[in-house]
Amino acid sequence: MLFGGIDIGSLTGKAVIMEGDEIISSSIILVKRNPVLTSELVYTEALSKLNLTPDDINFCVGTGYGRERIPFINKSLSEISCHGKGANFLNNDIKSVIDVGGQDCKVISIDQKGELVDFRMNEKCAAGTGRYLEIMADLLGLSLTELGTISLKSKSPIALSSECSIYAQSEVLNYISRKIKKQDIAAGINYAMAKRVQKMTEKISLSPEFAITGGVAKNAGVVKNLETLLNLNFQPLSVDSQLIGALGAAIFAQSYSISK
Amino acid sequence: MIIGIDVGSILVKAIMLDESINNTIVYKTVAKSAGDPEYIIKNLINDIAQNLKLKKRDLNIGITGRNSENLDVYHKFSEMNSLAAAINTLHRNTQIIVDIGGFTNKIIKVDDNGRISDYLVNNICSSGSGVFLSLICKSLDINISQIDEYAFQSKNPLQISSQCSIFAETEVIYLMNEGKNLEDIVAGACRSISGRLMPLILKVGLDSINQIVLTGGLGKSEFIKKDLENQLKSQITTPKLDPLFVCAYGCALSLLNDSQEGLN
Repeated sequence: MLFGGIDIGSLTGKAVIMEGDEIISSSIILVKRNPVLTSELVYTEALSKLNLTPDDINFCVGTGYGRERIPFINKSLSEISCHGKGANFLNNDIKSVIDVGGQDCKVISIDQKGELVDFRMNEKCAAGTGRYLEIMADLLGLSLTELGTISLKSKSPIALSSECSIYAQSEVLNYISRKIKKQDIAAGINYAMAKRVQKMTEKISLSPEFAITGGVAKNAGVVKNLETLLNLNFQPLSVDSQLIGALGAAIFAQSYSISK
Repeated sequence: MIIGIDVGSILVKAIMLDESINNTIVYKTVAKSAGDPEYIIKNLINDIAQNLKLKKRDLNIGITGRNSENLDVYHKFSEMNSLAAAINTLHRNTQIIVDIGGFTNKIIKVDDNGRISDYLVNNICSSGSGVFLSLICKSLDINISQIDEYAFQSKNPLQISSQCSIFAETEVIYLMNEGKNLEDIVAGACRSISGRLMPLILKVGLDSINQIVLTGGLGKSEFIKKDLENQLKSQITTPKLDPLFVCAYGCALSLLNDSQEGLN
C-alpha cells in the first residue's frame, strides 16, 4: 500500500510517497500563488516519477500552511507533529528537533515514539527564520548554501549588534560598503541566526539528542554555530532535511489508514 | 551659518540657519541614507557650499541621528535633546513629543521648562516605524507620500496581522492577491503604526492636559495623526516646521546655543 505526505511551507512545497517503511518518491518545488496549487503540483510531480496517480495512494496527509485547503488529502495535521514524527522515524534516538522554516522557527520535544511532548514556535519575528538568511544572502549575492560554505573560511566574523532583521540588514549594507570580506559578513550573519535559534531552545526542556530539519539545515555555517552554542552534534538524518515534515505526514498517513 | 544634520536610518536631513538674520531657516535638504554616513555628510556639505556659494569654513556643523555614531569629528547632539530643543522653540508648552523615525520610535515627555522628564524608545523592533510603511508601500507600488490620499478613501481598513515589517510586506502581497482594496490595506497599515505607538504613549503617561506634537517623516500623515487623536481622545499638534526636519532643526539650535555659550 502506498501513502502520501504533503508539506506546504512558505517558500517550498514538499511531497513524499512511501511504501511500507520505504520512501519511493519525493519532490520539492517553490511555492506558487496559493497552497492548493502548490500541493497539487508537488504531489503530481512526486507521483509522476513512478507513473502513479492519486488513486494509487491509499491515504494522504497534508501539513503546513493552508493544509486544510488541500482538496485531495484524507487528513491534515500540524507541521510540529509531522516534523517530530519524521525525524524520529529516521533515527529513533532523536528526542529534540529544531525546524527552521521560511517564515518561522520551531523547537520540538518528542518521545521515543515520535509523538509530540512540547514545542515553541516563533512566527512573529523574521529574525531566526529562513527569511532572515534569504534577505542576507540576497544582499551578499550568494545562494543560501553558499552563505553557509563561504562563512566557514572566515577567520574574523563581524558582529551584528541588532536582532531585528531590518536593523541587521542595514548593518550588513554598511559592512559591504566598507568592503569587509564576504566570508566575514556571512560568518556574522550565520552566528546571529544560530544565536537566535539557540535562544528558543532555552524556552522548553529539551534532551540533547537533537536533529535539525528544514532548508536552513543545509547552511553549514548555521549548523556549525548551533552545534557550538548548544554544545552537541546534531543527529544525522538520511533524508533531505527539507523533506522531514512531508515524511512525517506520510508516516501518519500509514498509521491513520490502519485505524481507518 | 549653522547646519544641523540628522543622520537617520533611511534619510539624512539637513537644515541651515542664518545667524545674521535671527536664525531664520534658509535652507533644507534631504538625502538617502545609503552607504557610509561620513561620505554622505561630506557630499551634503559640499553641495550646500557649492549651491549657496558659501565657504565651508563659514559652516558650523552639528550632527545627530541614529547613524551618527562614528562621526566624532563634528559637534554631536543626541536625538532626544535635539527634539526637545526644537519643540521648546517651535511649540513651547508641549508635554509629549511622539517621534516616528525610519527605524525607531521615541516618546519624549517634556516638563514646564522644556527639559526632558521621561522618555521611551522602541529600538528593538522596526514595527511601527517608517520602514514598516515604506516596505508596504513598495509592495503596493505606491509612494509613501501618497498614504493619506489612499487611507482617507478607505471605508473598511484591513487589519495587518503581522507586526514584523518583513512579514507585513508579504502579508500585503497576499492581501492584494486576495483582491483586497488598496485603500483598505493602506489604512490598515497606517493603523498598525498608530497601534504600535499607543502602548508606548500610554506607558510614558499622559496628564490631564497635554500638548502632543508628532515629529519624524510620518508626522506628516494626517491619517496617522487623526487615528492617534481618536485613540488618545486628545488633540495633536502638527509642528510648524516640516516634521521630518524637526530633529535636524533642534540639532542646529543646540549647536547655536553651545556656540553662544562659548562666546559668553
